[in-house]
Amino acid sequence: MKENRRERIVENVCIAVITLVTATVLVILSGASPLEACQMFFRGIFGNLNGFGEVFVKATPLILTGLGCSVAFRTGFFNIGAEGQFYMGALTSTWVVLNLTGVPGPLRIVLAILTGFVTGGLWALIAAMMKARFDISEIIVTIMLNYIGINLLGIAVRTFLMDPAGSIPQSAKLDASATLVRFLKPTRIHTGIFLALAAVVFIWFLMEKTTVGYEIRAVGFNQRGAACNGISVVKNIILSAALSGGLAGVAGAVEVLGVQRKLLEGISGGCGYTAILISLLAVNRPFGVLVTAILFAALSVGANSMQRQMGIPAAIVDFLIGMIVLLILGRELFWRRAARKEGK
Amino acid sequence: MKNMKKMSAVILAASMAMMSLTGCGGSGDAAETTGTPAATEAAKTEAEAETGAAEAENEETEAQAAATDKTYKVAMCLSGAANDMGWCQVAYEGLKLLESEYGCEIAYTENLTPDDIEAAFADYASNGYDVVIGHGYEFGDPAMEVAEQYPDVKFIVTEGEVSADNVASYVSSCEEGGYIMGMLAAGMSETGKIGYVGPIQGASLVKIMNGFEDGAREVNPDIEVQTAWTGSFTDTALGKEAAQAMIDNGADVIGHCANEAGTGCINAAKEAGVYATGDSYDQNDLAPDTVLSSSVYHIPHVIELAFASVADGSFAGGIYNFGMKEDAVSVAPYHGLEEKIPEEVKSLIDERVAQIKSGEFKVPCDTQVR
Repeated sequence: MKENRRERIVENVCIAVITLVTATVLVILSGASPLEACQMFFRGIFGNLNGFGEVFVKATPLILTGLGCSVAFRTGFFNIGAEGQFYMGALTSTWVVLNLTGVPGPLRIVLAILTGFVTGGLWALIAAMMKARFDISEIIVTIMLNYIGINLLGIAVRTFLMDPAGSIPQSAKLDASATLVRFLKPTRIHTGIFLALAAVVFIWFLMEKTTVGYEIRAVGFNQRGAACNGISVVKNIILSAALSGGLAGVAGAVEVLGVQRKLLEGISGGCGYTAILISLLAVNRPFGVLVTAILFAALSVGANSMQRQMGIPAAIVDFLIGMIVLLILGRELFWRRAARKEGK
Repeated sequence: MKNMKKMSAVILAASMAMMSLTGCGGSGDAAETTGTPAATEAAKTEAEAETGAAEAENEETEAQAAATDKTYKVAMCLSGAANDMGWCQVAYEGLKLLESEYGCEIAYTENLTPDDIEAAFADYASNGYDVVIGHGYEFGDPAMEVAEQYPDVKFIVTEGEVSADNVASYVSSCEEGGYIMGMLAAGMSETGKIGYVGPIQGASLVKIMNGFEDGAREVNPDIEVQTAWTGSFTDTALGKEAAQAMIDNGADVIGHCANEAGTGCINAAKEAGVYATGDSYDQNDLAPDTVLSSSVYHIPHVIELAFASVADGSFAGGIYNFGMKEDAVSVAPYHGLEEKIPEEVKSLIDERVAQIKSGEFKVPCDTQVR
């Protein structure tokens, strides 16, 4: 086991080195000095309070959606639908805030976030039910539900949620009393980050310290074994799917209430998809998700700063992330082949 | 071993998802969805090459820069690619103009998605940029949001509807161009019926269509102006369909303010052998025997005017309209169709243009859909 861990570290270092070299080549290809780009990258993150704050602004929805994915992945329910669940959460929570104007601000925030949780959960539940009942692949269903969710939001901001005073497809502004407080101005950090941190601790406790978590893990580890020991596979898959979707829905609600303060298209910035990678890199562990999400957020803030200040395409980072995933995939294949050889 | 199996299953699932994502990104309607970074990547590198060229040019005008005692840092945020042959490109040209004429240090971000606008504004503002330009009304709200935090930074929004102490909106008086096009269309119509196609019912577009109608009525009070909205800036087929319906209805001059979709209108007019008027830039070369003239908007000039107010210290928050008087809007030449247009129509138009320029005549700016 110890041997294995050391090998893992060596591999990770290799992946890091390959990534760095590729990054350097790409920066040179786009006509800039890698040193200067590197400087801009870090200055974007640590150079001023604003950039540093932005890391946590971006990390908040990533942590929540990443946690969501990790919970589902651990029962073997491959929820690729965090994006759609995010949109549904954002959509319904906006509706709650804009329509329940009689309810005082803080209570409305709680209601909105709860609504986000419920709708996100329900959105994932559709896929879970289809899997449990008809054995339809949840991967396909969740991906398809993404498009439905995204386009539902598109319809909403053009019709019943459209700002009556404007001509742009977006909702009216949420009133200030019903938004999450930005406590570190001029940055956009909002109280949603605490919610995300609380969710990390909660999920860790749930998965590692409770019977519910044990059952979820048992189902993920060996469905038949779990069933033979009286653990309901269907129940646990549905439970973890709902929890997973709920967390993504909360991410959507928090993004609306804390960052954008109105509903608009493209609000997720693709974080429902990034969440899959985060969960993958964090091996589905809650604290791993926390760290990885913050790293991803820092990566994107640094890359944006590089683009804004020097005109280096931020897509370089997307490229590198794709490459990292491929390298990890390659690593698994490599080990499997090695194991097979040993077996012979 | 079990663990590894699970792991690779997760990875496979993830990679499947990734594949499906890229697949859909490619086939989806790129113009309608918000983020299509991959598609515009090539565009980006080209644009950067252009920046390089602009830098070379810059050296000649450095003397000019020395004349002003300060090198301004100007940043621009674009919703599309800097070389989209339209809305964003003209703004980018304006930014390059600031670099070459005023020696500004420039930076820009293209393909900004709505969720990132505020972050981009704040990033520039906190990195010592003096002027941050958002090109398009959708940048209005984020500008107001960020401007509050950075009172020393000037925010400029083109076609915006917002203003604050350090936020100014610069609006082109496009209705003036629409008015003249309306006069021309009415003057050329023999059937007494003309048509006009708009894209989306936004205030900045409704006013052009209304200007067209007002202009047409001035020349011929009894004229019938048929109007249609395509609901799209880019769907040329829709534009063509709308124009064709009008032509079938007896319209013999077709006007438009529908960007790319409008080229469909021009094509319909060309095929039916009727006249058309252009919009945004001189569109005569699209159909030399069809396009009588075009209403031309000089966005780079508007951006220059906006910056000039910052440079000379006269900047103040507010909403400013720039039209023919400020050379922000103009009328394209008639090109090969010069002789086909009756002298009295031409002189009527020349007179009106002169009056608009001198401020003697004010084209009504009506942003309500009629």
